[in-house]
Amino acid sequence: MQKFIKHALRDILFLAILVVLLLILSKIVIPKDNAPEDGMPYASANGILSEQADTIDVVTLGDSVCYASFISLRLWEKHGFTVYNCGSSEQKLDYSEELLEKAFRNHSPRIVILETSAIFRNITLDEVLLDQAEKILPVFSFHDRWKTLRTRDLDFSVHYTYKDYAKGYQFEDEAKAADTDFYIWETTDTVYIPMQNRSYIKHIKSRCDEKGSRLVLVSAPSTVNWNMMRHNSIEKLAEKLGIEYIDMNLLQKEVPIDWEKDTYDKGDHLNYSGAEKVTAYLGEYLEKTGLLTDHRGDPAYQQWDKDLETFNRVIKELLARA
Amino acid sequence: MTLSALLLGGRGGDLTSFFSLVFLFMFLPAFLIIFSIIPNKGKKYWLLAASYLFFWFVSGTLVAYLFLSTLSMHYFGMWLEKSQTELKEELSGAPRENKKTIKKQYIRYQRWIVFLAVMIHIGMLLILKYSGFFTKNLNSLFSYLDLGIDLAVPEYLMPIGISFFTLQALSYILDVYQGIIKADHNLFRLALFISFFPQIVEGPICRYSQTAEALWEVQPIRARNFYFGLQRILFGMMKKVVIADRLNKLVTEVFLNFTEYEGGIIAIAAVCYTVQLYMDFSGTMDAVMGIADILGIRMPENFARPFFSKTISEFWKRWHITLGTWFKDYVFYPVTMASSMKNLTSSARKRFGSYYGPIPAISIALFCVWACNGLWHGSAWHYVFFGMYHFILILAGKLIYPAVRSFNEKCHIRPEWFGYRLLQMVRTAVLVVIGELFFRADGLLAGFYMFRTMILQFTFTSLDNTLLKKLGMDRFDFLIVGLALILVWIISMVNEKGISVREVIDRQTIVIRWTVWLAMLLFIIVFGAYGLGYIPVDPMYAQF
Repeated sequence: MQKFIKHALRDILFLAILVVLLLILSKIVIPKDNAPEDGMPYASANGILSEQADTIDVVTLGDSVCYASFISLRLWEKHGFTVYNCGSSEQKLDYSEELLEKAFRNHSPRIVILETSAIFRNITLDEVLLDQAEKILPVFSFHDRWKTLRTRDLDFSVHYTYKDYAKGYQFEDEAKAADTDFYIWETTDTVYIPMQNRSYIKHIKSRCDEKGSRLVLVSAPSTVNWNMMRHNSIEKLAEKLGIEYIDMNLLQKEVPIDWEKDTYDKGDHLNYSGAEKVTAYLGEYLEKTGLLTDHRGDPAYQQWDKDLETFNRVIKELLARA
Repeated sequence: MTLSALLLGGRGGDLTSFFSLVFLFMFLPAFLIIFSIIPNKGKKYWLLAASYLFFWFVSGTLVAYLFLSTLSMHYFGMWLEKSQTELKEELSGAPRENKKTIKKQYIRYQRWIVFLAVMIHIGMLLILKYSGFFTKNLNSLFSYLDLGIDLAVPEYLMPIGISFFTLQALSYILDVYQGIIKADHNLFRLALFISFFPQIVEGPICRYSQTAEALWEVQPIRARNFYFGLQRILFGMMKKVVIADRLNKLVTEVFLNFTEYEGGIIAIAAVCYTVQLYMDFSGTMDAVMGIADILGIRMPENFARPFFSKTISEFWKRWHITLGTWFKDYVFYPVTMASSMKNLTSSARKRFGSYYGPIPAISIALFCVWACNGLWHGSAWHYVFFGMYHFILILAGKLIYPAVRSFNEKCHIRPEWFGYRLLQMVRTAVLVVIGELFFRADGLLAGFYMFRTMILQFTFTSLDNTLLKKLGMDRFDFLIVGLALILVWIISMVNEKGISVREVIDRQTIVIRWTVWLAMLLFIIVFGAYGLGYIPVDPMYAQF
């Protein structure tokens, strides 16, 4: 028994040293700024970290369908709402949850929109465990930063300064027509939403409730990422959890997507003209909720006017080049 | 996150990798804690239950195939034993002149039992793994002959490790038939022998005489075994997570879009794939051996520094050893020892002498071995080609051996000279890489296309930073892979000399020991290819 205790104590000491070393490494590899060159993944989505505190009304979460569909600055221009698009490539719900927590750190968004494509991205049990480990020891998340470490990283202080003037929206203006033969059809069938994913949605909902934010599930138009079975599954889940669900794929009058012109990759994502239509509808919806204030003209939000100016100029240039 | 979501949501798929967090931090600790608590008499039953639980997590209801296979082994084994006992009894009471006839009758009867058992196991494998391949080829033939027949191509779900446990089951039946072992009357012991969870995914393919008894007599965990086991798992993890998984992006990209790359890049991808496969498979084997070490069980090694081989023949004695010895014992020897082959050898010996005389019979046996070996890896023509490629190389090696020896003697080249041995090792490695190119290629035609490009367009003009970015490997990635490979090479060199690195480290002071293991852990955590930007790679041999 004595031998066992001796071994156990020695093992605990070994693990304690390992944890201390990992904590030190975490401090070193964690990005010191939210810019891409500082090693921050998905810098556009993480741009929310450097937004002025308590200025964001709406946060949108989701994968590439999210960042291609909602034009934040158009909502500012037309309605005076501050919307930050935290969409990122292949975003899974564990990362949506992480971005939501980042948003809650400095902001109190009244509405949180979760684009539903992310809900169908399977999260493995391994990813769940890694996600938990990353929260305690960020070295598991940023270990690949050894390639870009600089002397500045040895100074452990973190300052987020990188700002995305487009507030997370990513512009594309190509047009590649979609095949709509199997887009919308009548069915009551559903698809399986993995249990972990359902758990994450429940957790996101409870965090929104705690923070006084309204969670809304939105399916942006996509002939590739959406189908009626997915709609039915989300509808059931939303009803069960008491979450509002808007499916823009079925609102063809209100969101008149032309699948010949409004998609840049055959229906997978919307291009700029498609996103304009989606954003226009979203703006009307946000207006109707009565939860948001028009901040236009408020000196505290001057930066949004400047960003809109930049955004419009860049869009104009890009469209002219095309 | 609810516990039920954690337990059920993953559906066990992650468990196939012994380096997954689910396996390392949930399944294995839970298994070991319960194993330690359970009284000694119950440990073997827990080992069996945990093995079936593992299989169920990974393959669900397909566990039925494993169970059926075990039942079939058990009853066929006992049937054979009954026949052998009856034979002995009859022989003891029979007149001398009848003994030969009685023996012949019983042997024929036992052969039928073996045939039936083999057919059940091979039949199961043929239906699940090869029926689609055969039907597709039949359809191609019908189409070529313009017969207007188009058969439906069957698709079946395969339980994990079926190619491995089928060979284990067959070896048991054949060993009982040959009288090497006695039939096991204990169904649980037999079930544990075939289902032991670390070996079920990728082997090693164990013989009943090697592990069955040790598994059944499993002892409480000893501290030394525990630490040694963990250290071996850690070494395997370094091979898999730092080297194999880091190379995955490059290999996947080039083999998927092979028409876009020049020969030099294809050659790099072929080398990287060979390294990836070796590190993935041998790393997983290290984990298997490590888990067995923890339980104090010695399993047969599957690798013995294969890239130190001087010939292809030697390579296959060092690479996937348990598969090679299985084919040697159950295909090569039975074919060469068949009476027709013996006759062939004796007549050929008279004509071609003592060296070349046995070659025709050996060639036929080798052909059977390599046709089986190729098909065992997968139901596709490029796997068959892979087998035939090695058959030709090994046969050619045998045919030219006297000429090479005589040339060396005339030129005063000593085979034991380091430069000569190095040259042989490099030549063997090159031949292995070419074989692996066909093995990994997406079909035989793709393999030939890649090989042709590699030979006719062996240039590196497109190799720049843009290309490296596309391939998902920058110079830092190559640097880390290189460093890790040097580490593996040094350890291999030491092991080749018969020195156990773990034991050497174990003899050091605690400061040195802890520094080594902490450095290894941090090396894996920092330089491992996991998390954001990496796709988890399932154990590569599990798909075979």
